[in-house]
Amino acid sequence: MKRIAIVLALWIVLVGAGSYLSGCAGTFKPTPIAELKMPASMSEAGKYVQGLIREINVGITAAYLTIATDVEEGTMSAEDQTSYLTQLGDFEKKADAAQAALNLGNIADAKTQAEALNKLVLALQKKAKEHK
Amino acid sequence: MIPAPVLWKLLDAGLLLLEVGLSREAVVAKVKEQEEAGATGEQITAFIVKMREDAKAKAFAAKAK
Repeated sequence: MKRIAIVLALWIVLVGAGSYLSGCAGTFKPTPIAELKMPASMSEAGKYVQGLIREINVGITAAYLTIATDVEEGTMSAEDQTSYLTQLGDFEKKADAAQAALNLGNIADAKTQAEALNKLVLALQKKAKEHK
Repeated sequence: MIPAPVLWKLLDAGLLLLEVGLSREAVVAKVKEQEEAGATGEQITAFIVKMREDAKAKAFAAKAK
């Protein structure tokens, strides 16, 4: 149950970011974050990266909310809670690093970091699926 | 015929998918509210990060039963 929860949470991050990256939605079609207002002074390339980082952050937020609910409802153990929070904390740091690079105008670096984070999520999702 | 345990897992996964999907959509809806209220692009980005931090605090504060 808890494994499924985190797999799905990660999946949401993945599908959201993946859809953003590829420009096509997966089977689940979340409301696109890319349609939201972007910083006016940002270049098109910067907006693309900003959209990707936002998408990742929204996915992480949804995952946190799911963990909180599952723990409160007694369907996730404290041990799993700690493990998943550690993983998500790592994602957060990487998302923040990409945002910091973008804020400094290092769009190429930010893009590389954000896309690497997406790949990390993909790898974790695969790993979590194997453990189901 | 799908074995009952498999069917149960599929149903469980479906419910959880709905749960996480709704969480995400709820987050996006709140962000859209900010946009409609006239928030700038920078403010929207900052709001998403604040929501993430609030959700993180909630996840850390949750106590297993």
